[in-house]
Amino acid sequence: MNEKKKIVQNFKSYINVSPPKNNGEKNGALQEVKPKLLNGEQVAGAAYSVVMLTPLSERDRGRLGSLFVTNYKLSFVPLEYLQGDDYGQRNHLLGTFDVPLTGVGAVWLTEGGPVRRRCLAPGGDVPAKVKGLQVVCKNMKVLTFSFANSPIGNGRKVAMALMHHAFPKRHDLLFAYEYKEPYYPTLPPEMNMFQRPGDWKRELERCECPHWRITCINGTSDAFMLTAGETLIVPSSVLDYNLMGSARHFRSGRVPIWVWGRPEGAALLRSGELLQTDQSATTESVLLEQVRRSHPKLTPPHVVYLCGNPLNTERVNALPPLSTLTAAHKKMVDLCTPTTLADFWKQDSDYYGTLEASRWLRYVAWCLAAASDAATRLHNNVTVVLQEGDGVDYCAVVSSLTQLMLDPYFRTISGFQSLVQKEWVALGHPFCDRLGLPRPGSPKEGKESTTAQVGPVFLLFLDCVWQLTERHPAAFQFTDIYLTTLWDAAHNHLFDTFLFNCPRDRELAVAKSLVQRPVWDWGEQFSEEDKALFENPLYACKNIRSPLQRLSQQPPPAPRMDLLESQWSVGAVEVWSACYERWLAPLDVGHAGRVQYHVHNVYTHRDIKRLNEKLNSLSILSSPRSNGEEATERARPPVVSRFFPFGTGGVMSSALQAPNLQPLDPEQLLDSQSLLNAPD
Amino acid sequence: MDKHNSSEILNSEFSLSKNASSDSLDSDSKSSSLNSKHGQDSPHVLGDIQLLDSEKVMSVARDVTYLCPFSGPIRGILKVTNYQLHFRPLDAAALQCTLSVPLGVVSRIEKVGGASSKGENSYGIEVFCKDMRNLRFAHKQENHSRRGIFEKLQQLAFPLSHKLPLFAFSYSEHFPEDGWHVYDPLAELRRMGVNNDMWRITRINDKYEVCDSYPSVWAVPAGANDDLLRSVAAFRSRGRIPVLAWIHPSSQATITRCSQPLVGVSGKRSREDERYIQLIMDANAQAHKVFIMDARPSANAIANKAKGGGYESEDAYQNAELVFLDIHNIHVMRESLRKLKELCFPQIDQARWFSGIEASCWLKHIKCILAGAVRIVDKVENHKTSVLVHCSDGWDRTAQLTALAMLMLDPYYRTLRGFEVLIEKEWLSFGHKFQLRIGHGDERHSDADRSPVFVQWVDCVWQLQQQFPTAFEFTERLLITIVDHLYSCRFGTFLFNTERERVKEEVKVKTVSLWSYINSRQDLYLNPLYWGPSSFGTNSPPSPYSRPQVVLVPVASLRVIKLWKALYCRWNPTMRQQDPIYQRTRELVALRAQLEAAAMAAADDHAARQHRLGLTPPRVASPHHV
Repeated sequence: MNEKKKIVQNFKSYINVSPPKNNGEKNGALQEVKPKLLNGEQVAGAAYSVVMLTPLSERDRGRLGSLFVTNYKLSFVPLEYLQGDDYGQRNHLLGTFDVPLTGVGAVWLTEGGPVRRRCLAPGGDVPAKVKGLQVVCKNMKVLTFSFANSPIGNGRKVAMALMHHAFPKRHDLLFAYEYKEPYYPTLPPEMNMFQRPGDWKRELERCECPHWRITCINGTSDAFMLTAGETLIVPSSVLDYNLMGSARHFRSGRVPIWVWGRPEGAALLRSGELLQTDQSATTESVLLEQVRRSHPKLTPPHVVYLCGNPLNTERVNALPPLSTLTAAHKKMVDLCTPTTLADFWKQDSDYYGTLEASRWLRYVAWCLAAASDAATRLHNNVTVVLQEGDGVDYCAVVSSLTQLMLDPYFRTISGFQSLVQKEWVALGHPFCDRLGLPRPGSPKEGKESTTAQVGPVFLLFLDCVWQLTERHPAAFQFTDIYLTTLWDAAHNHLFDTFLFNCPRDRELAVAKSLVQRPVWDWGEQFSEEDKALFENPLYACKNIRSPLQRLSQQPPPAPRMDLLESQWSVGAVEVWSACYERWLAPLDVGHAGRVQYHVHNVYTHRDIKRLNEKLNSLSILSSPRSNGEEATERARPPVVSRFFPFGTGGVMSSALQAPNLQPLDPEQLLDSQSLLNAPD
Repeated sequence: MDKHNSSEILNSEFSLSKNASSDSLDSDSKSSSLNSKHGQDSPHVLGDIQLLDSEKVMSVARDVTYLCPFSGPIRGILKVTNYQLHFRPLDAAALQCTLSVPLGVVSRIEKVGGASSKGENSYGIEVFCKDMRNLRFAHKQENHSRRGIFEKLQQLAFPLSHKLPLFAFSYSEHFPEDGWHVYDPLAELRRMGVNNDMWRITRINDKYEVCDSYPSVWAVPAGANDDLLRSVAAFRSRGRIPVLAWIHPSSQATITRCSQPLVGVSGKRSREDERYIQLIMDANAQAHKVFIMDARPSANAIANKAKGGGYESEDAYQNAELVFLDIHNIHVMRESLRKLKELCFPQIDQARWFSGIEASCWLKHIKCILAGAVRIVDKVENHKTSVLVHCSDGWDRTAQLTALAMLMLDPYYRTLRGFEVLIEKEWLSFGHKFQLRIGHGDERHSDADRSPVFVQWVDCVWQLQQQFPTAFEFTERLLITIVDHLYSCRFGTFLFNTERERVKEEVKVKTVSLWSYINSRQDLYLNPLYWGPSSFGTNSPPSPYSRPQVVLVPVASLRVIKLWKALYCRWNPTMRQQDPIYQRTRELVALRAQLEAAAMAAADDHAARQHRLGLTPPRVASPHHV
């Protein structure tokens, strides 16, 4: 009873309210709420008097408002503003209840409640009467709307608009083409976009690798690796002519190319799978020999077949085909998107079984183990060549992870963003296909669209990076909040970073007036305050010197390379709860979770910065500045809930709801019944 | 001159920081506290045996190979003392594989292979431990090389089976604080405001005659006289009548604990018992009801009727509501942890890790216990209703539930000292049978009375810590240290079954308390994130609870309940977290403290200099002076 009172003050129940009599035109007040539109954004459909159901609540609770579909987003605008609406991360472009259209994963029909009835297929029919919709977002947020109180036809109208615009048939319907706001880049200068030959040159120089050369052959009419940018780095001894000849033996023309190296000689290369042609084995060994000669010690390279060796039928410990990975991810999504509280507890009773069945974490552990192995070899100055399918999926995952484990530069925010630009954007990870967007310039459907394969490869990578940051909490400049935000931003079609399959497609689009707006300009979306949460205070404090160290003038030089050593197995990885489960209100309890460390450390870090400044001013200036503002008191960190700055802020969790526990199945407990009956 | 001054300050800071970093090094969960002498400053060489006070080497075996499941065979010297088994690798590079295992941890010892066994390292001994690991040693296959050490081990690891005293009775290291004074039942009751109008302290059990497994001091409803208490004792299994565990500082709702009523198949009733429960309800003016939480599954409770036990019928007990919490018995828990051990040690099965966790049911049991405690907390805190908790005997599941609920309700128990008090009170004084459940010094390893009930409770505490990182004054390190010394037999704390036995054996006189050891180096266990007032004095009145997070309500969902890898998987190097975040946080806090001290010293120094130069003092004073 107490609980109910607590809840009611925040959420009004509208569901059991009988629909107003005048079903045609509503009273003006309800219709006056309008979505916040961006420059170039247009409303495509609207429904009024919509109830957005409170997720995972036992009672029929929700909020009244209007639902809009625009060419950019699905937007629910509540009738009245509540205090909790401001909690956590705020996005300049999107409201609390908005989803960019490319973030919509699946749309379900409901009877107005939280229970799903039928999944709407893109391009399929929308029934004449739509009582409710449930939208499952790609970031595992679930939004449920009821049209029971809406004017007749509103539900169908908004459902049709959503199905039409959320699954566009043409690439140039994405909002990046429509957004009219001018863009002024403010990217940090140390960030490398890997767009021009000079960018690659910079990287080659940064790594101090003299035995490798830049070739621009791929930017000419002789291009052989159509999915990569114009610039490639290859062994100095290889002639462009040889490259062109060898390319036809590799899938997608992906000959081994340099991505990272160390001054001592070892380098990291990526390539596609070898085709089963007559000369392919010879071609490969010729190329590998040239790779060997690029090593000053002439150490032969180690080849890692990420999906198993194609010339060898046994594929043990290989990463799965993309379809298998997608299926694994789907099981994870199901596990993280229960729609009713009963579902939630039902899943709970078989949580680990489902986790096992999904195999997602096993693939995460495999990628990390493969990267760890490659990193150790590179650390021992052995060149590593990664080989896989088209060389754009797992190659990108393992190659990026390997570099994160070795090179401290990539553990900074700028460095990490440069790494994604290099390994994912410039080397042509097909984001457009993998995230399920229409390919540019191909309005013809059918054949083309069947070859496009979706796959959560980039998420797999982010998940692996999160595992790394958990294992080494002070090694990375960015936080898991940053990683989660990046995953959200990957589904925001206002930015061009994750919209294309390859640099070539992007150039064509730019030629046709697309304004490039990299997602890395975080100021476009977030305030300074929110951006501050991307930075890891433990990392920042590594460079702060203790009082004694202040005396010695020179800080120790940062090492060019330091290996993050760790062994990886399924037992050592965890579910990335802060990303996947952040919308599950019953878990979002105040004072809870790992985020408390982060918040605490942010405040400690502020104190440390302040004290340092004070010490500096005392030793340099003749008179100490003692302005009253300089509080010597430590500020207490605010109270946040488990999924801060995401989630619901613990507003909804009626803290004391005792779970409906099902008694354990005694047969699960024991093999022999006798123990159960043993005396207590 | 100025420089000289400040560098002096900074030097002292430096020594501070050195300490901090060495602390953080040994806070690694694997280098457990088992053999460390906290207070000792002498440098310790890795691999060397560190003898405790009155510890003697009893047997040495050279040329032994430790078959490490992670690093492969390691040759070295095996020593057995009256306290520990110690293995020192010969190769300096393998020194991190040095073993130092208190003999109390040993559950059984077996010979492996015979004199004629074929194959390398096939002849030797295997030591099975209570702390989730097994140790294999290979000996030379000649002259019965293992015999001496095997016999010595048998004798020293199981002293009680050989009519020898436990090590705790020879060990007498002196600590600055005597941990036996940590818990004073009267002071703890006074903290909760007893005596008061509703509850009185009785010494009816002073000689342990009413109930031999209860403490000597009880708090009971003021309306219950000693005769009534005696009659109730006759109706409760082993005389364990309902007595006060905790009382809510504002609502007067209480948690009381007891054993099952002796209802039997015929459904016996006791007017006295019914009246007594009514008195417990009446002691709380806020509610017209009392909840009886029976920790067992209802089927078990019914089955107990056949053995003369049972549960309260709602017909007989007016205004009482009976709830079964579905927590299984000690045998089920033992089996569950056994499965977990198979999963965690030595190697984990990559292909079946999660399903293995599922099949062990360990986390489901943890969930059940947490959910049960949450229900108690809900009734006491939100409904202001008193709760009576029992299981069969009221010393296993009951202790888990009351101690856990109290931890959630009362922030005092979340301080280091309060936690010690909680264990002393709910576990030790109320007679959780540590001797039977752990089997100290006893070779009967398959005794059906053994069960990890206390460890399971510590796991639940860990789950709370994980869920609420700012709520506890201490870290997981304290919990691991407690579990280590639960087995080690170095301290007297966890010896014997009841308070009565401990008094009879003069444990407080003849042994050292674990709390003496822990309290001598509290800094090792403190949580840098702790949000509480720096201390809850034992003498202070029940605090008004102004802190934002007084009551902890954990989420009893498997999405949040985790496997405690730092305890169960700590021997496996691939599972250990290399860089726990709280360690880094501690370093950060230490850095802040150094800077604060340095800033203060520098400011003083600066002010002094200004003063000497005859300048006006800096305007640190209040502006009113101007």
